[in-house]
Order: sequence, then structure tokens, then C-alpha cells
Amino acid sequence: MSRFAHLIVRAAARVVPADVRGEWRREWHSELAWCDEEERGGVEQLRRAAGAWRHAIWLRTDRWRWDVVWHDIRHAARALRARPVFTAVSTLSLALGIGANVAIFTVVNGVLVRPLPFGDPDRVVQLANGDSPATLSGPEVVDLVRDAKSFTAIGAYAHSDGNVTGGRGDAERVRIARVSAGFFTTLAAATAEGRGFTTEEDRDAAPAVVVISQALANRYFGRGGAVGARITVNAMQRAVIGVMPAGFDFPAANVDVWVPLALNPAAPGERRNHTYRTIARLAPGVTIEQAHAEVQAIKAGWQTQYPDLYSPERPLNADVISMRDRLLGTSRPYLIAMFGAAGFVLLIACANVASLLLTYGESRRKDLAICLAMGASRARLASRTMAESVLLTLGGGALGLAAAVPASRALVALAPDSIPRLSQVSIDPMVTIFALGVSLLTGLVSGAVPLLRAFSDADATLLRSAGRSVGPLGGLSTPRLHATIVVTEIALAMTMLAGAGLLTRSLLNLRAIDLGFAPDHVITAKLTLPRASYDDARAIATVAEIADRVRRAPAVRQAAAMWLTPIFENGGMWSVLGDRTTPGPNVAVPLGAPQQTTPGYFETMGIPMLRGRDFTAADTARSEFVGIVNESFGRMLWGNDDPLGRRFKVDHPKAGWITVVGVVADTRVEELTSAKPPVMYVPHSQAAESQYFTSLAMTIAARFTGEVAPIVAELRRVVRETDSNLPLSEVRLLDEVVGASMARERFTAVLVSGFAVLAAILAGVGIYGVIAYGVAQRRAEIGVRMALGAATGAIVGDVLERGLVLAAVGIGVGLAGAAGASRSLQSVLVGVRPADPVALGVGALSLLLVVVCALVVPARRAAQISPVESLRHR
Amino acid sequence: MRRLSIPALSVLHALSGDVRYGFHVIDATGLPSGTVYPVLSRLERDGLVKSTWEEESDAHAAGRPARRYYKVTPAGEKALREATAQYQALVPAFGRKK
Repeated sequence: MSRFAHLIVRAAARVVPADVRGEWRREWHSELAWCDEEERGGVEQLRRAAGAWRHAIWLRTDRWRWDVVWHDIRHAARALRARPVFTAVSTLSLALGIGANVAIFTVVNGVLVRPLPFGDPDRVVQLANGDSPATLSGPEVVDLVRDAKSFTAIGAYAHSDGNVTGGRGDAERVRIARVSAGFFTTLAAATAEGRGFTTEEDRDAAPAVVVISQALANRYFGRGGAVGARITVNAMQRAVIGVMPAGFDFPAANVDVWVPLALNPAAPGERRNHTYRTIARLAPGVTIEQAHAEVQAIKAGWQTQYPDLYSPERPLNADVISMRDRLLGTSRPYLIAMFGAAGFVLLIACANVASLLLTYGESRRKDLAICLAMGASRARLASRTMAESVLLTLGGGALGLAAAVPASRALVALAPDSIPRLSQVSIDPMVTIFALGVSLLTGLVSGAVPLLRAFSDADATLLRSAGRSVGPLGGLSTPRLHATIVVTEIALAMTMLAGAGLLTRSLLNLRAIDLGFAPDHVITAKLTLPRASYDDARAIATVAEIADRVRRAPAVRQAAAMWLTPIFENGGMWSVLGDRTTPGPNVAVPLGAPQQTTPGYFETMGIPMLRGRDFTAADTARSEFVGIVNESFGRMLWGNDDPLGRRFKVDHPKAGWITVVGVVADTRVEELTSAKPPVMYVPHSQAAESQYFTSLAMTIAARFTGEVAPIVAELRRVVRETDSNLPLSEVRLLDEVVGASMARERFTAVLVSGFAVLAAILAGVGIYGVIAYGVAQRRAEIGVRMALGAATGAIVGDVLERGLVLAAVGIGVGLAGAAGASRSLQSVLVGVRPADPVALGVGALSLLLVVVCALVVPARRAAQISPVESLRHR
Repeated sequence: MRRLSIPALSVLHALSGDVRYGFHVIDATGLPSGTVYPVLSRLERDGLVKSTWEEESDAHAAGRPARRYYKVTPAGEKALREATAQYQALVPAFGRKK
């Protein structure tokens, strides 16, 4: 330990000014010896030795003469002003690199780094069954609240859109969260005004209350005054009891209203309807693993208690995961990929500036060598030289920070909704510190390379200049350093192009995924019928009438209404019973995705009807209950038997038996990359019985030909004429709905590709600079060769060869790097391997093309060298 | 003369007693080594303390390396008196707050 303490002091001594270093070292070693003498070695001695660094730094900085530093800065500013092209290219290069980094860091900081909007967020976990979607049923939540001891609070929630009116604001459609009483307690989220829900308010017959967002409170009631007021949520009057602070956007972005969930544990059929996401706060001292074990044990109890509901062949897997991972986990790899790409751009920009400074430094090497020979301290010379690069990068940093403000806003605007907490993204002190830190570091790194180069062979420089023998081959190591920098730049650009290629291929694969339906030329619009003025019968008739009238509109080929828009909306997985209760060996608990539609749905959506018939107007609430299933559903309940004529029902006491009248092809329901699940379709007109509720929120879909605008106008007219109070929302093409589901992948691919193009251009500028410098240095040699009869082609070929060799080495290194780096992208790639030859090949060829373009100018310049002139110049 | 910081005042106060070298000051003031040494260097630069090296023969006799001893100069004593008076003037204010 004592030895280590002496090592610390010895290392710190290098920082101490030379004239006091000897005394300093003597004093510190003497003091450390005192520790040994007093038998106070070990950690205390190490702690005391660590102070040597602070002492050494103090002594060093105390020697700085600030007037000299200021002089250096002014000198550097003058030198930069004298070389405007160099200054502009370097500053812009750095501004691009630093700006890209700061913009991405702003997003990363807002999404990943800033604390979550609830107290002690690391203690909040999500509870679920191991199945997808990760949800629990109402009775399961109630059981966990009662039995689980690992948690201090448990809250369940679901969210949807709904209509709100009240205060002085207009009626509007907002995002509504239905949450249990434990929701706010679990999150330890304090209200800005008022309070959250009590257990008494979270019951069916309780007085209707609501908690609203600060934004909605401001819109409806201005500052203050919201608590105690009344608003109407989905046609029900509710008293506002609390206002959540701005920035609280859980469970979804832009949520405005929280209403009690009122779970009903008594309904036995509810137990397997997994519709609620559930969160819990870990009790003090309980780990996630301990909580997981307890939940697993409780679930095992359910299997014993309800053997008919939970098959013993399929154990219930508990799923207790940290809320931070649940919320941010899926976005993290995308953001890290973007941050990595921006970092690469900065590295290339840094390399470019280092290369430019190196070129410029060549002309000053002799000056530096003379100064050193005359006894100038290296620190003094370094300060003077570094002032220039630091000034350059601070300029680039300031420009980059200025550019990052609109760039980060543009990023947020372009970013998909699926990236959480985008509302938190803004330039804050953390971002400014990051920008300053990155700029200073960039300045030090890009300035250090030429400086070290100049110091390393100062003596040789003097000798060479004395003999006036600085020839084209005189300073071999500078070209080698240039070459190393260029190879590094090209390797980095290659790695980025490979990443961009992989993400683009993955996006193309995602686009090519077979959805099972044809989203082109289909317009969709959401219709929400208020319960207060629509009973089931009126709702069914109104939806059918609107669908019929839209169908009859010119240019509409087919139209229908549906409860859930595929890919965009998800009704969970419902447990079902077949008329033959022996499902296949791998199907312990038959689960099917629900859907309610009007006649014409399958033709509208382009879902092939494989057997049987579509619903018709004759399928009414009073006729036999009919259903259409997809192939997976049929296979799940009846194996290879024909489902036509078979019967099934939703596992709920209110639900009736349904006869299968049609079989359709499988479709994607939730995510593009998830499997096509079993789906059961029932007519909207019979859903009150066959799916035990009639959806009042329906989406009208119309397949059309020609322009979309007249169809939208017609749709609006039909709805207005049917009921002028009905709001029509989310009017958009089905293509857009599907496109939005890959928005995150598209965003990442576009951004990384943009950075890759930027990197390739910067690398092109880098190789241009080095080759052009080489041509300028070899002017005399080229002149001699031309005078001796060398063909222009040979000279051009020589220049191109030098550039292409560098490019080939860079691309080779980059490809090797890409093979490693792209593995980190594996989790976000769809249908493409990290070592995909097409992506890597296209990237390599593109980069080669950029390099060739960059080489054309210096090659032409070499070909145009006049032998006479260059010899005279020599 | 620049105003003395509280660490500088503590170090000066310690040296005005029988404390004489760096690690001894650390023990007497409770300040970390990374604070005490820069303070000692600054006080010496400002002429408030003066350092001398122990005679090698004395150190050798004691079986250890020679120590650097610090001593408060007359200017240092004056600065200590003034700073102490200034800080003492503040004490009643803190007392009232309490």
C-alpha cells in the first residue's frame, strides 16, 4: 500500500513546475514516511497521497499568467483570421460533428437520463403474466393487492381515447387513463393540486371523480380553480378532485384524464381476460428477485384454486420487471445507435481538423523547434498551439449548440410517439455542459496530434532545415500520420455506412412483411358514440347506416366499420371455449383476439375469405349468433377439422355460443414483427351477446379508387348528416397507420443514414485534403518525372493509386469494425444478419465512389503540373 | 492583502501553535491533504508563512527523512489577528440566529 502511495506522488510530480519539483517530491515523500513511522499506512496513507495531485495542479495553475493566456488567445484568433478557408472548413466540420452530438444527446438526456416523473423510480416494477401482451386480469390484480407482501402498493391501468367537455374549453378528444386507487400511490406521484383516488372512489357505484392534467386544467379553467369543478368524460359528469403536474405523462404521452378503474373481482369470467397493465412499488429491502418469487408462488396458488381456468400443463410465469426497463428498454438500443452514429461523425470531424492542423503545423515545425532549442518550455509552446485548436472547437461548439436547438426540436417533431418522454426533451444545463465538454475535448484531441508530432522530432527538424534537405521524402512520418488519420476516418465512415445499410435493409424487410390485409387505398376514421345518447340498438343502426352510405359513395369500392384497427389498436387476448373441449396438445389455454365488424369488412380490408361467407344485414341481434375465424383460430380449437359450422364462445358468463360461418386468412394484429394470432370476428350487431359488449368506438374503413380528398369530404358529410354532434377523429389512410407502427425503425434508419452520408462526405474531405497536400509536396518530383517523359496517365494513376490504397485499407478495417459494431444492432434488425453482404457491399461501394470523387481534383491538379514551372520553383 | 479563507485561517492558526509540518497540520485542522498543501503553498507565496528544511543530521539521527517545517511570519501573525477579529465579529450574528 505504501508503495502505491509513493507511486501516486511520483505520478503527480510530473505536473509540478520543474523548478520546485525537487522540493515538492522531497516534502511529500517525507510526509508519507511519517505515515509509516506513525503506523498510519493503508487507506489513510493513500487518501493523503491523493492530495498530492491537487497540490501539484494548484502549483501548476498558480504559475499561469492569465495575461499570457489572454495573449495566446488573441494570437490564436489573429492566426485563424489570417487563414479564413482553413478556419471556415474546420469550424463547419466541427459544428456538424458537435451539433449532431448535442442534438442527439438532448434527446438521450430527455428520454433516458432525466429522472422518471415519479418518486424513487427504481423501486417501481411492472407485474404481468409471462405471456404477451404483458397484462393481468382484474381478479388477478385484486388477488395480488390482497396477498402480495413484497409491495407497498399495486396499481392497474388501461388507456384509450375519449371525448371530454367542460369549463370554458371546447369539446375535445383526449387520451384517458383508467387507473386503480393504488396507481398514484405506486408511482409516488404527487398531484399539483387536490389529490388522487381513494379506494372508496375506485368502485362501481362510487361518485364519479376525475384527475386531470395541468394542460387540460389550464385549457378549461385557467390557473387554479380546476379542483371542485365538473367536466364531462365520455358523456359522464365527473368532479375534478386533482390536477397532475406538467410533465407527468404516465401511462401514455399526452394523457389528459385519469378516471377510476373500478375493478370487479366478482365476475368469474373476468379472471382470464388479461386487459390491465399493472405496476407495483417494491417494499423497503425487497429485491426484484424476491418479489418475483412471491408472485410466482401466488400464481401457483391460482392454478390449484382454479384448475379449470389455469391449465396445469402451462405454468403461469410471473413477470416482474423494473419500470425503467419497461418504459425505456425498447427505445434504448435505437437511441444508443443514433448516439453512436453521431459520435462517429464527431470523431471523423475531429480527425479532419487534426489532419488540417497537422498540415498547417508542418509550416510551423521549424519555428517550434527553434523555440525549443532556445529554451522555451514545452508547456508554454503547447499552450500557444493548443489555444488555436481549442478556439476553433469552441467556435464549432458554439455553432453546433446553436444548430442543436432547432435540430433537437426537429428530431422531436420527427420522432415517433413510441419513444417515451419526448416532451421532456429540451436544452438544459446538462446539455450545455455536454456541449462545452465535447468541444474542449475535441479541441484538445485534435490539437494534441500535430503538437506531439512537432515535439517528437524537433531536433531532426532543425538538422534538416539546417541542411536545407527537406525534400518530398524528408518527412516520411507526417504523410504516415496523415495516412493513419485518413484510414481511421474511412474506417469509421465504413462502419457507419454498414450500420445504415443494415437498418435500411431491416426497414425494407419490415415494409415487405405480409400483413394479411391490403392497407393501400383504404381510408379510416374513428367514430365515438356517446353512451348517454346511444344505447346498443341505436349505436348498431347508426354505425351500419354510416357504413352503408359511405359504401354507396362514388369511388368507394367497399366500406365497413370495425372495432379495432389492426396494428394500431389491440383488444388483448380473450380466453375462448370451443364446442370440442380437447384443443391441440400445445394449446392449454385457448386465447383469441377479438374483433367486431359490419358486413363488407373483409373485402374492405383485403383479407381473403377462404371458406364460407361474410356477415350480412340478416345477422341481427335476434338471429343465430355467427362468427368468422381466421385459420389460426380454427387450428387452435379444432385442429385440422373444418371450422365451418363449429361453435365457440368467449369465456364469459354473459357471452353466447357462436357458429362459425366463415374462415379468413391470418392477419397481423398487434405488432408487425409479432406472429399472426388467432382472431375471432363477430358482427357488431350481435356483439352485445356474442362478445358481451357492443363497442361504441368504431372505425369506419373505406376502400376507394382515385383521390382521397373527396372520400374524406363524403365521409364527414355522411357522419354530419347522420348526427351533427358526432366527432370524427383520426382520419387517415390505413397505409399511414401501418407506416406509423414502423416510425421508430424508419426514424432510426433515416437518422443513422443521414449521419453515415455526413461521415462519408467528411471522410471524402479528409482524403481530399491529404492527397492534395501530398501532390503539393511532390510537385517538384512530379515535375521531374514529367520532364523525363512520364505519361500524364501514369502520374494520375499514381495519385489515384495512393488514395485508393488508403481507401481500401480503411474500408477493410471498417468492415472488420462493422462486423463487431453491427452485432449491437442485432436486437433491432428484422430479417437481416449483422454480416449482411448486401448492406456491407453497398456501403463499401458508396464509400469508394465518394473517395474516387474526392481524388479527381488532386489527380487533375497533378496532371496539370508544368515541368518547367515546378523545376524553376524548386 | 487578500482575505483569508476559513481553511487558510485554520492552517495559520494551527501553525501559530506548536504544529510545524504538513501532515501535522492535517491532523490538527481535520482538513484533507488536498486542501492543506495548496493552502501552505499559497500562504508561503503571500509571505504569511516561511518554510525551512530540517537539518539532515537531525533527521538522520531520528531515523527518517528530513521534514519541511513551516513557521508563521510577522506578516502572517498580523493577518491571523485581523482575520480572527473579523470572523469573531460574525459570531454574535450566528448566536442571534440560533
